[in-house]
Amino acid sequence: VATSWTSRRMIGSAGFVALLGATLGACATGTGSVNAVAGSSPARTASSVVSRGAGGSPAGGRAVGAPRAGSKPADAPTTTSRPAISGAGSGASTASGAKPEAGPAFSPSELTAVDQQLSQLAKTLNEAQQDLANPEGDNLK
Amino acid sequence: MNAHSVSLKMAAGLMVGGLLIATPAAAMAATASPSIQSTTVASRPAFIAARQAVERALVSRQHRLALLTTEVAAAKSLTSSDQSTLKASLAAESTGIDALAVKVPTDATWLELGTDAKKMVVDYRVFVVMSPQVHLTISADTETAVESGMQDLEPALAAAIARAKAAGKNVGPEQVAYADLLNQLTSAESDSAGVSAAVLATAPAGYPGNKTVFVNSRSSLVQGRTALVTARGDIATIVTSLGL
Repeated sequence: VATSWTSRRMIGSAGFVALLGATLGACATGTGSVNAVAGSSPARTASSVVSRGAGGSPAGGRAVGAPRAGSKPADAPTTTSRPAISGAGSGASTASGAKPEAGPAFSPSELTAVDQQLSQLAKTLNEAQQDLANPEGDNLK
Repeated sequence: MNAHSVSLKMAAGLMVGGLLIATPAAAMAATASPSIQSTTVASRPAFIAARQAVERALVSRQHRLALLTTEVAAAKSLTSSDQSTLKASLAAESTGIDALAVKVPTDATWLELGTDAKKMVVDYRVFVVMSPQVHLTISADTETAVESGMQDLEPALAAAIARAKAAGKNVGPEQVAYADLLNQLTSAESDSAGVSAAVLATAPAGYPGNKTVFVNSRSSLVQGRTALVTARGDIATIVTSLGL
């Protein structure tokens, strides 16, 4: 039974890696036109960032350990701290006493959903670019 | 220049009724005395062509508003609040444009047609305000959803790395990838924060000044997406390396 389970596990892993490659390829395709407009450099310029009012993120963004306010639906488990892994694996325990490796299992389906959203994001950003590139303004259309 | 583009330019000159003087006919309409502008000219070819151009422009706006309404209804990552706001704006614009589409065919004077054409453009700004408003709000909320989705994966990834290390595997590359994942998510969250609120606060009356809001919002979201694609690569590194 153990051998059979292991085989299935290996097949499943291989299948997932193949799926991962395919979805990453799709992401890369969607990225092209977006990055072609804005450039691929991650360097940030103050003028290109939307001004944030009170209640916006702090200048340094979300600190590790600080969950994003309001980012989770009401029925989702709340992450109270970002799971750090440095020093884990040698039997070290977290402050709560739990072993760091005793976490939830990875779910490929959650990653698939993220990939679909990333593709959708590329699509709507390109549509917005087309909206903004309308050289005629709103007079002739 | 074909007949369509000629009539379109005449309508353009007209619709600005002061915005843009593009043709002699439009110039005449714009400079004519009020009494001439109010004279019934419904049967004149130039007027008919201009009116038909405005009618086509209205149909174009009706199609765009219908498309945007469909997009908003189908956008799964939109927050319910943003979706409600966009639906209300689209409904109001559709009502106004539909009313003009009924009225314009009955316009019989340059003054009437000019007034309606200007209203069609200035009051609604379907293409330069409503459209980017929809696409950028969907983009901002989608980006937030991706950030949340990736954040939800963090505990499982951290635990998998810890388990591999406990089993004796050298997990240095995975730990580096995980640390970068956290940094990229933090950057993306900073980029998308406040974007949907800024975009939804724009209005047709604010054009063209509010175009800056759209350009900057999109720039922030593109930066955020770049960070998320990098974060996705970090996840792939961990998943592939550990065989998850």
